[in-house]
Amino acid sequence: MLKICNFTKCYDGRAVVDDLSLEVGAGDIYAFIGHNGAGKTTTIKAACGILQFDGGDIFIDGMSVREKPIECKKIIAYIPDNPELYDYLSGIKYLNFVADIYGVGKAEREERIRKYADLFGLTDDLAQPVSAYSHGMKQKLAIISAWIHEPKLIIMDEPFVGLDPVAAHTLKTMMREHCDRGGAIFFSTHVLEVAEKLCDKVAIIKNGKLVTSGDMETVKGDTSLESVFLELEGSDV
Amino acid sequence: MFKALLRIKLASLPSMLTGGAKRGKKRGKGMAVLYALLMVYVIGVFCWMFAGMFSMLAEPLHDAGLSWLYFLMTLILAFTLMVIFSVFTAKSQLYEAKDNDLLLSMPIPPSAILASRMMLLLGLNLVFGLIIVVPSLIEWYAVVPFSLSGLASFLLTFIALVFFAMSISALFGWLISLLTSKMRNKTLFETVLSLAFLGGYFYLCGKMGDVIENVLMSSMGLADTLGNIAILKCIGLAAAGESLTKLLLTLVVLIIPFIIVYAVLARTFIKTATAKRGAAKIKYVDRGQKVSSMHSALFKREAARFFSSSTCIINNGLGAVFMIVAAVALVIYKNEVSGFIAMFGDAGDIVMCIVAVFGAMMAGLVLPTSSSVSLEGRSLWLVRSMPVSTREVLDTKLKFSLTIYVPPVILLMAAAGYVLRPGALMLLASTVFSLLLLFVMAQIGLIENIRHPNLNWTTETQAVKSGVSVMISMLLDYGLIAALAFGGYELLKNGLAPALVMAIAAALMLILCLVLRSLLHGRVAARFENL
Repeated sequence: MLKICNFTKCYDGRAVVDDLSLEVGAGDIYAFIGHNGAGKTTTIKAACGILQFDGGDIFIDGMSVREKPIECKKIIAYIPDNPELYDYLSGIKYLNFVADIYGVGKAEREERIRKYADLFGLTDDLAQPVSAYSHGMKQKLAIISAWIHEPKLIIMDEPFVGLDPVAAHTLKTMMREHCDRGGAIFFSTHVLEVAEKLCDKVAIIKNGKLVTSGDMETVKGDTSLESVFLELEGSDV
Repeated sequence: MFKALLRIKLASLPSMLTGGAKRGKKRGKGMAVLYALLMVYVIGVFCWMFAGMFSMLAEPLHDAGLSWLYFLMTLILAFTLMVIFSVFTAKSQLYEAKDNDLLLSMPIPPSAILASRMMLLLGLNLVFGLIIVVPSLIEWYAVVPFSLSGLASFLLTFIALVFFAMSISALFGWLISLLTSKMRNKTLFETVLSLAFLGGYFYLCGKMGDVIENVLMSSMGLADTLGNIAILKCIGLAAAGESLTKLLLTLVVLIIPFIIVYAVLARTFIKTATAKRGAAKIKYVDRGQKVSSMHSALFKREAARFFSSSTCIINNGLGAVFMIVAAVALVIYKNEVSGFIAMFGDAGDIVMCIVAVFGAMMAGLVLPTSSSVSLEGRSLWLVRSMPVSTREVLDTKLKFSLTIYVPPVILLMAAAGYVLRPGALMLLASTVFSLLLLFVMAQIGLIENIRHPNLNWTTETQAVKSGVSVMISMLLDYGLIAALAFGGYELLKNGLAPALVMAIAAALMLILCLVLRSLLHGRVAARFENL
C-alpha cells in the first residue's frame, strides 16, 4: 500500500532523512517511532505529497507520489500532529467540505458523519465554529474527516495527542477495523505501549536513518518495544 | 522583564510584515529594506497631502494672530487619525492576542504584559500622528520660524496627546471586544462599525475643503467658538508655546486619563484576556447534508473565509464599495456631470477613459488575491494534502476575487455609459479593458502573495493589511495604471480616437493576462507547492 524507497530529504544541503526505505502492506498497522527531530514528520509529509524531496521515491498503491500526486491523494488521508483546521467553518461544514473534495455521495457521507460523530461524542458540537473547538475536539474532527472518504491508506502524525482516554480507545478500534477491511495505517507515535499493543509492524528512525524495521514481534523479540527503542537510542548510528 | 517582553514584540515585527522564515531558508534583509522604503513612500504621500492643506492655513492664521488655532487644528486632526486607525488594532493586540494565555501562565505581572503591548500601540499612534504633525510644522516654519522652546512645547503637547489617544483607543477596543465576545454576528457588527469609522474619516476628508474655507473666511468666529471651550483653547495655547502654565495643565489633562485607563486595564487584564469568548453554544440538528462539486466546495471555502472576517471584508472589499458608490453617484448627478463635460466640448469619450482607469484604481486598492494565500495560514496543509491540483486551488482564488469585483466594474461602466453616452465601440472597448485590467491585477496579487506569503500570522490584520505582498501588488497595480494612463494620453495627444486607444489598451491587457496566467500555472504554481 505504501512503499518508501531510498527516501532522502535535505535542508540546506544537510540530509534530515537519509536513504530511508520501508513498506506498509494492506492490513498493516505500522508504527513509526523516533526521537524528536528524527525525521518522522518529514517522512510522513513527503508520503502525503505535501513535501517535495531530494532522493528516492514514494509509492501509494503502486503509484508514485511524485508522478501522480492527485491520484495518490485520492486514496489516502492525512492527519497532522497539530490539526490546524478551517476556524471559519463550522464542524459540519468542514466535514462536508472534505466530503465534497473527495466526492463522497450524499447517503455515504450522512451515514459516516452520523456514525463517527456519535462515536466521538461530537454530534452536538457540529454546528459550532471550529474556532470554538478545543484541541481534542479538533483532533476528533480531523479523524472523522480522514475516515469520511474511506481511504485505503491513513497516515497520521501523533494521532493520540490531545485525545481523552475514551476517544483514544475509539480511535484504536477504528484503526483495527480499517485494517481488517484491507486498509493500511502508517502513524508516528511516542506512546510505545500503544504501538506495541496495536501495531503489526514498526520502524525506528534515528537522526534521519532507519535503524530497524519489520514485524513487531521480530523487532522487539522477548523484550519490550521501549527497551529496544532505548537501546537503539543509546547506540551510535 | 518589561524589556524582554518588548524585545519579543519588536522581534516579531519583521515576521509580521514579511512572514516567518521557512525552514531551510533565510529571509533576506533586502525584503525588510524594500518594505521600509515602501512604507516611507506611502507615509510620504500622506504627508504631502496634508502639507497642501496646512500650507493654505498657516499664513492667514499667523497673520490673524491665531497660531493657537492652527496648532489646535493640527492636534485635533492627529488625534482623529490616531483613534480611527488604532481602535481595532488595540482590540486585537490588547485583549484578543493569541499569546495572552501563554504570557499569563508565566511569572509576569499582567501590568508588564499590558505595558509592552501598549508601547507598540503608542508607537503606531505616534506614526499616525506624525503624518499630520510633520507637514504642519514644516508649513508653519515656512511662514514663521519658531523658537526652540516653542517647538519643545508643541512636541510635549503632541506626545501627551499620543498617550491620550491611546487611552481612548484602548477604551473603545475594550468596549468592542466586550460587545463582540458573545455575539453571533460578530463579523457583521465589526464590518458595520469599521465602515462607520471609515465613513467618518472619509466624511472628514470630504469636508476638509469646507473646513479650510470656513477657517479662512471666518477664522475669528471659529476662534471664538473653539476658544469658548476652555480646554481646547488651553491645548492650543500650550501647543503654540504661548503659556507655560497652560502647557503644564495640558500635560496633566492629557496624561491623567492614560494613567487611569492603564491602571484599570492592568487590574482587570487577566479577567478581560481570559474571558470566555464565543457566542452561546448552538446544538447541531441533523437535517441531512448537501453535496457539492469539488470546484464549488473550493469556491465556497474561499467565500466562507472572506465573509467570516470583517478585516477581509473591509480591506479587500473596499474598492468594490467605492465603485458601487461611484456608479450610483454618476447616475444621481447625471445632469451635473453632463453639464460639466459639456463645458469641455465633446469630452464624453475621454471621461469614459478616465472612468475606466478610476475603476481599475479602486479595484487595485487591495484585491483579495494579494492576501488569499497568506490567509491559508497554518491550515495550508489541508489543500496541499487533498486531491486537488494547485492550478484548481489558485484558479478558485482568482475566480472568487473576480466574483467580488466584476459586478461593480460592470455596474460602474454601465453607469458611465448611461451618463456619458459614448459610442458602442467605446463602451465595449472600455468595459473589456476594465475587466481585463482587473484580471491582470488579480493575477499580480496572487503571484505576489505566493512570492511573499505570511503563513505564520497571529492576527489576520498582519496578512490582510500589513503583508509585503499587499503593498507590492498595490504599487505594481498603480505603476501599471500610471503607465497605461501615460501611454493613453500620448496616443490621444497624437490624434488617435479614444475608442481605438481603449481597444489598444485592452489588447495589451489581454496579452499581459495570458503571460501572467502562464506564469501562474508554471513557475508560480511550483513555488506554491513548496510553501
